[in-house]
Amino acid sequence: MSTDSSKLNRIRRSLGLETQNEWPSVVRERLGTYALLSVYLVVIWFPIYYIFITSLKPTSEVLSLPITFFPQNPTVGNYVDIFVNRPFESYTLNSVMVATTTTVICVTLGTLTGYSFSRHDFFGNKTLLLSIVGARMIPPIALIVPFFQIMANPPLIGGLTGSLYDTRLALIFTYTFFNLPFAVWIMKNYFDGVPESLDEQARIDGCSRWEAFFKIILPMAKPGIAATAILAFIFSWNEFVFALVLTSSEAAQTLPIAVSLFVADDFVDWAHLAAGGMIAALPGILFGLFFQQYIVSGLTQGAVKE
Amino acid sequence: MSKVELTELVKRFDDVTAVDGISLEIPDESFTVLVGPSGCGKTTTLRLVAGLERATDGEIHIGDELVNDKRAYERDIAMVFQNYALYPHKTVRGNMRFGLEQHNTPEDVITDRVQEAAELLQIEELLNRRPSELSGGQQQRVALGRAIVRDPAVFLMDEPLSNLDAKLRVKMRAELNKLHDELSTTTVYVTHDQVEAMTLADQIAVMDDGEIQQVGAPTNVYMNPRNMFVAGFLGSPSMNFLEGTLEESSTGKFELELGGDTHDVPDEFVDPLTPYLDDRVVLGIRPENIALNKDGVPANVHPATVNVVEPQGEKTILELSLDTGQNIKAAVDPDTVVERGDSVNLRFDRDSLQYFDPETGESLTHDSKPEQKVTPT
Amino acid sequence: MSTEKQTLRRILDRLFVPLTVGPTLLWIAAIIVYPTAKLLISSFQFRNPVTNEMEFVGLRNFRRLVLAREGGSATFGVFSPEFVAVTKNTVVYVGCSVTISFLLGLGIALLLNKDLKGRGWFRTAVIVPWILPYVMSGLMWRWMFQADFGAINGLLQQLGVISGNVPFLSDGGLAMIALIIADVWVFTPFIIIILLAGLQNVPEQLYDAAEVDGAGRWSRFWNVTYPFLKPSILVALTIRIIFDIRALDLVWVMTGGGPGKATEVWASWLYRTAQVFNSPGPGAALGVVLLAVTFAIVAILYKVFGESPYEA
Repeated sequence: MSTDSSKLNRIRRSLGLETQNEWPSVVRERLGTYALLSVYLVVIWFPIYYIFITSLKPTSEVLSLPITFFPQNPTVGNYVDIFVNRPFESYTLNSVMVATTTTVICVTLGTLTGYSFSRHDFFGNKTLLLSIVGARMIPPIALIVPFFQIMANPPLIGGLTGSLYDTRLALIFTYTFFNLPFAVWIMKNYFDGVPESLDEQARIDGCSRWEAFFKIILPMAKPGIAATAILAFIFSWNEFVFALVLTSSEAAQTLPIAVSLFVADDFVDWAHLAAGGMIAALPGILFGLFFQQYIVSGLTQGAVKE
Repeated sequence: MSKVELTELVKRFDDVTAVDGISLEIPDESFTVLVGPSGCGKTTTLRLVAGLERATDGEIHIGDELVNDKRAYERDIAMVFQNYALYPHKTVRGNMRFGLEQHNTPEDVITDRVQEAAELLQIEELLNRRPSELSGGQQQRVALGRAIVRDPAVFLMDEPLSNLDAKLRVKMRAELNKLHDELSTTTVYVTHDQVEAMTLADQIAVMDDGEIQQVGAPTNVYMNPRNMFVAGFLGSPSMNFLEGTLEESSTGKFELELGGDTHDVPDEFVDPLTPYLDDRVVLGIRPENIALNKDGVPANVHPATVNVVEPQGEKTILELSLDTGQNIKAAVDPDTVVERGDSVNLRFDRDSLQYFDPETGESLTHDSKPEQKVTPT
Repeated sequence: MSTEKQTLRRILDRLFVPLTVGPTLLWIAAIIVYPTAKLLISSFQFRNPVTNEMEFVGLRNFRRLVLAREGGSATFGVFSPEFVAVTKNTVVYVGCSVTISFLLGLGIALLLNKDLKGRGWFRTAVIVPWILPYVMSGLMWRWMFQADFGAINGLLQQLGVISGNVPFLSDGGLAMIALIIADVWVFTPFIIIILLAGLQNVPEQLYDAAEVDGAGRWSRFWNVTYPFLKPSILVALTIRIIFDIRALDLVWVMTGGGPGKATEVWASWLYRTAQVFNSPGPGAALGVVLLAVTFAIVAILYKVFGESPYEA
């Protein structure tokens, strides 16, 4: 009796239960919840696991039967190969440059504009905000034709730049199209949650509007800015359709394109594709693991997603 | 330190008039409370003085200077907000220093002033903490401290105590009083809480509908309200109003016919009430000025039935219906023995009666009582 | 403070809104308004193969793609068979994957909303699929469903469910199912995030009150959870639908619209059309159609539920 009950108590404690008489149904429910979630996680993580181990297998093992679920001779050869035999350093650099620049532009403009929309009543305030938000509903793919035309022959700046086709600049311009309205919207909602009395206190303390914004409000907006930045970066990093339409060489092609290039007409180089895919997926996985709360807060502030 | 003077001040937002031509003189070193229900324009008035809103019309003087066109930071004021508006990313010290830094105050002055204010408010040990680590009462002190270090001509306070719990509110009220005694800085204080207004103010301005209804020393305004709004707003439970027809009795005295019951009007009110003879008049009587006679006393009593007995500790509130059908509240001693359903006789304290015009709400007896002078404490 | 300095400060303060909003508006005009205008114009034009000039052709681009050609076969009276087939595929694809991912996401969100130890970890692990590049996810699933060496064939055979390899992606019906599975895998986390946030709005006391009232599990869900969750459900569904309609990535890398046209949806049809013709007109016309459909769906949801999905 004594051993049994102490064991039970230990289990109960580990399950975080306090009340003695209701434990059986609560335990069952809790164990059931854990079991269901675990099964779900195993199922959704299995493909990621499988493509990861594929990236560690030599092609000979990838294309042999029976299929192995643990790599027999794990190797990083595929990762080395794609940098040696293909310009993966260029693709990676393109991805980094495009995603970073897009993020900086969108966060800068989005923060300033979101703040003004949140604080100031100006002419057409509501209408402008609605149209900016409405712009997010325009399906980007609907605009591939005009974007191709514009980038091939840019108006106004064309004389200066020539064709922007197959340049990073083209991608940066294009990506701001779906990220900027989103950034404005998230930041506006974020600033709505910052009490206006702080701005007013700053004004009484002697700040101009600019000082109030930069000295008081901006430092407080860091979490909102982080959320916006992370989401803008992920959306830009992952973008595929415009990269497909607007680029054609390693001068501007990004990682998603690079990964898709392993698919030839009749043959797919799965081992190397897996390695490239893992590189393309890395920022997302890292952001997901370490900055989950920003992603969640950004999404729930914005409730809009590419 | 300065007086503040508002002249014919108007503020309109689009088509809403928040402040409708108010004039108010706030004497130097006074503690003036603007009180009124929400939406009465009191906060807007304060924000106009602060320079957070621009007046549509009228003038604001701080000291002898017209400040309508001055920005908030040029007006030599400090403000305490309802939610304290402490900068969350700065420490308590950083919060208190910021306004002085922005005004290019020399470093040694800043240090001294922050130290002094911290000592005064007993928040020295909190100086390195952030606002999120402080309790509501401590945040309140920091907000006060931030205003004090500026050593402004005027303190503006916008419901600074309403986010505190009841007990702390009473304590902070006493401290604000003490602080004002010590610093004597002219203070304009906004609240919807009439108890707060009564205890803090040496001048009270009751506002409603964008207009100032009455200004004066708290006791004076309480005892001698100018109209039914002020009479009803100050005091809890509020003043009872009984409407009836003013008649002249066979003996030549005035009586208020309340529908089956009559109320004898004291002789000193005959003059001001004469124009209302045979007309409708509202009698105002505060609950605490009603006494209970269980055994009938012949003259000047009003029979009533007790509906609700609500003991509140230091007094007991009774809800009664007069035999005329009108409802009335009375505040009686807690040791009064009375039960629901009891028939009682009510006696109105004849020194505390008020009469009003039912149409305009204006007091008919206001001018017949002496005004008290406002003197800063 | 000197008067010049003060004047400068006032001028700069006056310019705060123009300077903070102006650049964004200009940028948006350049990057959204201008291309959209160009899209509308292009949709009415066709490049003359002889002169190589863009010519105004009225509604011909729309008629050619959406309506049956004169003398050609027609389905549903006036629509071209291709348009009808692609629309059918899109409806099946979007309908199935939105429904499944919504129900699955709701279930997981309800589980994750419980007071569990390690809830943060579960949440993080659940979100990851949605953050990966869709291309990578699509190719990953293509690899999973691969006929000879794919993990799904391998698993099913090792478990003895099937004896020979199933060529999932070369069979029309199976390819659509594979596509829906991949789509559900990618987008369920989005539903979970939005619904979890919504669940946090439900006041705890209401559950207690319902329990005191003796409400069962279902009754609690319908009477307590659902009313608070409704705005989040609307947002999740609206965004999910309009973003699924425009999604090209998964389809393009997994099946390319094949086999045949079995998984061709609006997005892939649009992309192919834009490439195939030596003229921007037809692709632009389909872009206009997609734009109109998106706004129609949003308008319908808005009308039906009476609130803006972007403001809920």
